[in-house]
Amino acid sequence: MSTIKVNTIQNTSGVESYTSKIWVNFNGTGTVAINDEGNVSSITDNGTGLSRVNFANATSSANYATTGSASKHDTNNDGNMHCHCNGYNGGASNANTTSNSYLVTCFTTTVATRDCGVVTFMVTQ
Amino acid sequence: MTDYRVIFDDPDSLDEPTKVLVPSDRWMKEAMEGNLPPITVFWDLQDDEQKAIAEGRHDKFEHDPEKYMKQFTAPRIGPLTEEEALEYLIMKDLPRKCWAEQHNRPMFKIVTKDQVPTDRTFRNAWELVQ
Repeated sequence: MSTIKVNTIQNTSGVESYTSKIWVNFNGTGTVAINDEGNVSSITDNGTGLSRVNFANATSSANYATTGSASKHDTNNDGNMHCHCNGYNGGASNANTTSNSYLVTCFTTTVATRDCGVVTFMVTQ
Repeated sequence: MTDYRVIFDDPDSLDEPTKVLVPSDRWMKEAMEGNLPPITVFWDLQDDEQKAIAEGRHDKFEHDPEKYMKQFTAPRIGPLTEEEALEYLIMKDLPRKCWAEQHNRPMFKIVTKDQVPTDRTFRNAWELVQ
């Protein structure tokens, strides 16, 4: 396998192509288990529905874009799951969003934090 | 695939449940193959960002390009054992207060995967027992 190393990739019009810097797919039930990832060194299980994704290499700033999803993977009909990607519960976004890590929160429609069978999270910058 | 986990209490939030750090298998492999820069590269970046947070300029903060690039260009430190890789990860991903400061009890412990309770029933009552 070969590795291409460049600073930026642009199309013929000079428009830069942005790629995902960090991504992870993990099981958030019980104790966290990482299914697969890119540029993630670890995940911290901070409590029910709370997972901190630690980046293997830091981003150049904390001003990146995130997206995520949560799937509960059980048979209880107690509401859909949401994956919250920013400062949760009034917490300062500074504390939850840094260039080294990011706090992902999963909760139900009644805004109770909840563990999820599959959580995905991605950072683009 | 590592069977180790790190359980820890954050000295800044001792009322919160004990936390569990789960290493990435891919990262552990990279560490054991010797593909990591010196840990000080990450500390420098963390220090700069924490300073920006303390000074209220985090929203405009960007890492110094030279320090940022050291993650990729600094000479690699060579292969680590599994235990050394975990120690590196602790110093990189755990709050620094956990391992760099003196407390009246240890703030973290390396355990095996099967020592971590999987039942969340009493999750918020977990405590780090020495």
